[in-house]
Amino acid sequence: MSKSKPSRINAADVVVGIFFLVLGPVLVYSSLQMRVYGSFLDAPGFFPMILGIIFTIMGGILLNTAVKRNGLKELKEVIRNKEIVKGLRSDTTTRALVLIALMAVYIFGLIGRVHFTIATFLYLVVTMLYLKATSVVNIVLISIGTAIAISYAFSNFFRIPLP
Amino acid sequence: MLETITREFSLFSHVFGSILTAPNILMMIFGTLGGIVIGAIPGLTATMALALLINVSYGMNMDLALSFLLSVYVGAVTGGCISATMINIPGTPSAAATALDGFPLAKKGKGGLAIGVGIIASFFGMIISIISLIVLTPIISKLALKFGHWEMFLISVFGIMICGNLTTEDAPVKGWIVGFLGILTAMVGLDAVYAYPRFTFNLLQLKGGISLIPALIGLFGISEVVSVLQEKEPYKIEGKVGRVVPDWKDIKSLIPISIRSGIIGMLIGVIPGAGEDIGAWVSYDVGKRRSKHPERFGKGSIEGVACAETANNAVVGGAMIPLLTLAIPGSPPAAMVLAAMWLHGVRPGPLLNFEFPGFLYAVAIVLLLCSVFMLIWGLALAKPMVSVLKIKREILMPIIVPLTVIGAYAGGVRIFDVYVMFFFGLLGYVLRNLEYPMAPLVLGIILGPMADVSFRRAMMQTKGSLLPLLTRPMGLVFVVAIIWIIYSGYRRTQQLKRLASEVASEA
Repeated sequence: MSKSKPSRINAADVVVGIFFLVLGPVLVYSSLQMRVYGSFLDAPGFFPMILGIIFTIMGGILLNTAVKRNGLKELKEVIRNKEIVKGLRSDTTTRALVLIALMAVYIFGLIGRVHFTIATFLYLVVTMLYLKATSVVNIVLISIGTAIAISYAFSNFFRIPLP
Repeated sequence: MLETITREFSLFSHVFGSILTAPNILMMIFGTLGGIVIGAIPGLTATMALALLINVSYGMNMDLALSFLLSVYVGAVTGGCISATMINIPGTPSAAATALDGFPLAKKGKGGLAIGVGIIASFFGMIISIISLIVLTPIISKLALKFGHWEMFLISVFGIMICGNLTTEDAPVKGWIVGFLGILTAMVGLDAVYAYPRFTFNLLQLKGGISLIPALIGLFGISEVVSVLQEKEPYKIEGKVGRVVPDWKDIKSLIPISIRSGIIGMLIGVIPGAGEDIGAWVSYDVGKRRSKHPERFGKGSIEGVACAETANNAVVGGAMIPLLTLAIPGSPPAAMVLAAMWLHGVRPGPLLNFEFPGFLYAVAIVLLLCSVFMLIWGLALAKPMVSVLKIKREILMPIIVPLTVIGAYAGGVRIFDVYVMFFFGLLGYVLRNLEYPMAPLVLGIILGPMADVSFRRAMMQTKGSLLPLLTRPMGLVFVVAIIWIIYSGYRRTQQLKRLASEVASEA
């Protein structure tokens, strides 16, 4: 997954190839379950069915290419050496996961429940503190200023509704 | 003939007058400046900026919105050369080739000169692409009027295939897969013919389909924020900026290079979804092979900077050609411009000139004025702009997130769109890390509805037989082109495989 380990891309391609090999037939099946009005040629499921066939073919090609580039060997090494667990513990991945989690809390937990300005302030403070962006006082001041400026500019100047 | 010229000139003058208003000019002046700043800051790309700004333009009239978005687009593509030169990190992907020579020049204390040459070359690129836009758009529009459902379907597939081919480094199949994944995304919601719900999983919110703008904001906003912030390494500004404006002799020597690079960039821009970065790389490669001093490329060649910078800006005008004639964006930022046009009720395509006479001229005039403002701002502010690079990304990037939320929410005033944006942000992040390109995905989302309806209607016309469709000359050209793309993709994969096995055996 990580860019620092480009050799593992083939292993990832094996997984993605298998995913599309499974997705393709599932798509074909679900397309065939869709209602046919007049002719199947203009039925809602016709085009998704073709997409399903394309995904199956391309998934196969991707898998084949990845296997020929030692993808299976790499995948075995990834599993054997517990590289996924090690990767999850790496600095870069941890940082990315924490940032995604903070965004998720902001979007699913705060937006729509708390006033937008307060939600934004909380998100910015916590994220910048985690990133150690600058001193605590500066972080608080920047977050307050930004949250108020964004809310004011979009609701009054651009006349855009805020969530 | 004379009557046509008179009519077109009168239309041009009318459009010129309507564009030349104080709010539009002010918008272009500040939009270009904003664009250059955005482009200069690593992590803030032209595509991301446009995705965030589409909904901001909602309350504006079309001319003002066009001035706003195109000025940011032009500025951002140009601004990338500042950070590429001074810190060896392209502000936008389109400036990656610029860094190869810009940064060595900065190390020698000639960073300002590299930026100056880059900005003048960008201006040349813009002018060449604007001329091409005015000349080629009516011709392609006339040709596109002859396209039936079959041709429209094929052009969608062609766009995705060629985009997938050009945007992946190793296996083109990865680009094609994400392109078709984009088409599948466009299938979600009520189908366009019978209003039958497809892949909605009984969710009411999905019946309206996946909204384009939240998906774009997620793909280019959220994923970029996470990708940039996960890295800890701070930027280091190299050397002094030095003199910015090059000598007249240097400028004169750039003209032939710029004409060649401008044409290359414009042609790459016409290819669906290819984008500014590919234009710059192709032009750089051609420039190196045609140069009298290829050995200087990569070590601080002014020629190298000019090749890359002319071409990436020439893509801007080139990308507008398929956008205006076929509603197919030539680059990811152009996809944002297309979304904005749809938002404002403008339907680009072969009928654009009938439905919105003078719209082509409006785009060309705005691009021309933005190019002039970009040249002035760029040369005047190159030195102070370097201080923008000192802003810490740990402060700047989190601020993008609330903007993505507002951008996603504003279009439909639905919190669900914010969730869609977040989902696509995660998808974009995963795709980036697995080295899948995002341009084909965007193109797929945009072209999906057209591909679906056109294919089904073409099949109905021929009662399911492919043979009558293969007798259509334009269709046949596209079929041959698609087969050629698949073949060239296959050949490239085989070559890379051979190369990999040779390297492995040598090791």
